Amino acid sequence: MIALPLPKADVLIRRDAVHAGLRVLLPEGCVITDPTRLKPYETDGLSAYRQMPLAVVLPETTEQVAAVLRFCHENGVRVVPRGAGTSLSGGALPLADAVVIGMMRMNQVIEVNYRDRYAVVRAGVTNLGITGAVEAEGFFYAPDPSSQLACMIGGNIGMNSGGAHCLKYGVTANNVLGVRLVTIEGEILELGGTHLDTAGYDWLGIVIGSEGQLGIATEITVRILRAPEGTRAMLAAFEGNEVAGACVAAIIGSGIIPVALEFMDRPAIHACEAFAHAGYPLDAEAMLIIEVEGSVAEQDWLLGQIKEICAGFNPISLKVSQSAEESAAIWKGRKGAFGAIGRISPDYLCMDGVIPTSTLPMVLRRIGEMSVQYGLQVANIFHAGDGNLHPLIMFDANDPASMHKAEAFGAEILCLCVEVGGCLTGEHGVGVENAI
Amino acid sequence: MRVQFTEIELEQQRRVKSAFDPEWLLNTAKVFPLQANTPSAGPDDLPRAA
Amino acid sequence: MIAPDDEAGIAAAICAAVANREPLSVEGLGSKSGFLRPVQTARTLSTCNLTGIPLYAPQELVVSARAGTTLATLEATLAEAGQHLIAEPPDYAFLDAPAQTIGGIVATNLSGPRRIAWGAMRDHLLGMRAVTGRGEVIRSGGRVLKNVTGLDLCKLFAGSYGTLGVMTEVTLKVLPKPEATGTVLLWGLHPEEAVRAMSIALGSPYSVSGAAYLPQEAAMVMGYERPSTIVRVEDFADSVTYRLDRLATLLGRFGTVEILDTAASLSLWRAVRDAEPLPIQPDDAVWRVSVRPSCGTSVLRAGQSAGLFGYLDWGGGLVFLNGPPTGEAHAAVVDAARHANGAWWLLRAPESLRRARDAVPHEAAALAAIRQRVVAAFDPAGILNPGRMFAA
Repeated sequence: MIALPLPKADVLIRRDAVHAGLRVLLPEGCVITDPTRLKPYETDGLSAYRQMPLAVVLPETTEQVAAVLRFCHENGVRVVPRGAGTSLSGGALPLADAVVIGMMRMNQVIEVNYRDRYAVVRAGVTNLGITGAVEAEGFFYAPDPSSQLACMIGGNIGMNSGGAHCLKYGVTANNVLGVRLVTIEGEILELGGTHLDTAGYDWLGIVIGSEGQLGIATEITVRILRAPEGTRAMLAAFEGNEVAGACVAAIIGSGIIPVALEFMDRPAIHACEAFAHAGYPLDAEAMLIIEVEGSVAEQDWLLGQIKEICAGFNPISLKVSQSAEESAAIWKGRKGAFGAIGRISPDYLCMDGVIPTSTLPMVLRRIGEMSVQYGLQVANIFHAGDGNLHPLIMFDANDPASMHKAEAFGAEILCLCVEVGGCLTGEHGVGVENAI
Repeated sequence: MRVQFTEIELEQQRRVKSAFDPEWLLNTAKVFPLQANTPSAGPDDLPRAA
Repeated sequence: MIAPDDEAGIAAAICAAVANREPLSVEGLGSKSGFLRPVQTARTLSTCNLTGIPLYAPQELVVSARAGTTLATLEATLAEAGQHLIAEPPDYAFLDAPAQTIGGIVATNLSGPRRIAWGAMRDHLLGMRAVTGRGEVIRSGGRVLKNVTGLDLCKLFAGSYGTLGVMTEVTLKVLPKPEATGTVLLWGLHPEEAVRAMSIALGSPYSVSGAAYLPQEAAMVMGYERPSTIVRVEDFADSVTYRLDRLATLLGRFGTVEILDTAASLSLWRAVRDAEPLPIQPDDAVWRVSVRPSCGTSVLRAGQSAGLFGYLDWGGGLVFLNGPPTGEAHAAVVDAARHANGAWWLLRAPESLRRARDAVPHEAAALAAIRQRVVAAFDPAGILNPGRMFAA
């Protein structure tokens, strides 16, 4: 079990005074203290853990955020920032003595500048909402975490979120130009701006991915990019993890960098196919989704090269998408992977380790052995281009023994990731889950 | 975090945290191991056992 | 000069300096020791003997090099596998030493024209080892392409000019070298027209990886007769041919379009990368200004009004300026950069100007206070490159 700190007794005693103090600072309806209305905030994407907060505030402006933080600082009250609450590592899990600052009402796009290719948005705008605001002009915001429909850019700043396309386009830190950050003392800092390189220390770099440890981002300036002429995906199915892993290395070694290169193992293929009917090969042990972009001729050429490389690894099948619809179906399976696993197991833990890609076959073999040892099923999804491995460990949260086993299994996987030269978390963040 | 970082490395990260948030009020109990989830200098009001 | 050949030696030197309260100048080969503010210390600690490439995995797009490895050595190793450093780090024409170390490149976060499409050195710094001003060895990041474990100290060290610690090893993401490079060249545009043309190119779906503008004087240094606007594409040969053709059509309304082949493009962009279009005299000052692209022209014009020469890279978002190292010229650059809400660096100047003026923008008071605490967290005794970036 994950241990949380003891609440500050002096703060709990002052509960009513804290509530009253917050109400003075914010408009009516922006302070939530009623237990039934606090309930939706008691957990996030790591739903096995729950804790009712002292209060939830929903500020509408940067100045209100500053006022709340100044108040909390003066009164020694802990603060938990929250975007959409999609964190898979418990990054937005409340504490009993803490005020949750929910950013969902700061959901405005402030400015879009196509000439200089940036957009200024408030922290509560969803990741996909940014692309939604600029796609009519053919632009997009590149980082695309699987939760992009719901997750907010403020939370992406906290976790330095990535996505399936970061092999080419990078993660949040590579796509943000400026952040308006409010410190715990209520100071409003302007970090970066609309220019590419910042002088002095790289405050953006240390703040992005700091999981709300350094301040609260209220306004963010992101780079927007012109979308490619087109994209197309292909599926390559293999008899084993080793050959699929070797094929990934061969593609990268050839000098081709696909915009996305995703790996799924047999359990993941089956779960996703049952969910999305994407035409995934059910007879395969391992499958790659490979996506390229450019004009139709460029796509044809790149996919031709990749097919030729794949052919050297005895593929069970190679299937190039013939239309935008087919490509969308291929991605629907992958992006719906978590929901698909949810259909076959009441609960699952999604791990987020990163490994050197060359160690994939060995790591998957070890995970398979652990799966037998713990008696728990696991499906593996892997951003093969960048080494980010998401084992989904299936368990039953109603059975405490099952949950303990799942956590121990997950911890052992992460230790293995570090042991082979990787790290604990590639895009979900440390949160409470990995802090130990 | 202890699997990946040495005590010296964690302490250095904690110092950066303290430079922004001296009393450790922001998102307490996240990122850093609980035993270490406290200002690098100053009173410790957190339980020692995790 | 202390130049240990291992990390333990660096740590020992820093511990001794802390014990003796004796500040150190930190450098690799000293090629950029004239950048930003002057550091006056009795002793210099160099990483130049920390050489070697302990890890290179081309199929995982990752390389680790000890800090003192020269840029040339590293690039040669990568070239053997057909790869390169993504940010295209510059080898400026006005450096104080013939060679640069990779540690120095990362510590100054200098990137070339490709930065606009593919990111800066800081974006590709996956991991590092460093000795802090406490004499302690720390690692941050790692050897994998994605990592959000703990605070990203790598970003803080990139561009920190050796004021937080001495990096002993850096791990970088690398990419395959493109098969072909091509350039679309437009003649005779005014700065504003040029930035407009570059904006159209960069806002097109043709993956432009460089966009620069050389005004009359800069063009003449390069042997051209008229102002030149250049747009680069890098990829597989067929793609480059196709995209150059598309870009030529797109930019046709700005006048006659010329296309440069791979060989001509490589040498032209190398020159742009290395600030060769600046007509630099030995005692000149050099400024580098980062603004949003459409503001580049106002900074360029302000510099020209103050008697400076310059050119634009990053589609207008990076302005290089050079000229007499006067306080007036410096004030003109700083004012123009501030007006555009941009960042600026006094890259090179005689010591008198560097001592008297800021070398990077002032921070607001609240951020300056945090900065002082962060610096003290790494270097409480203030012994590493004191005063290099900020006077206080």
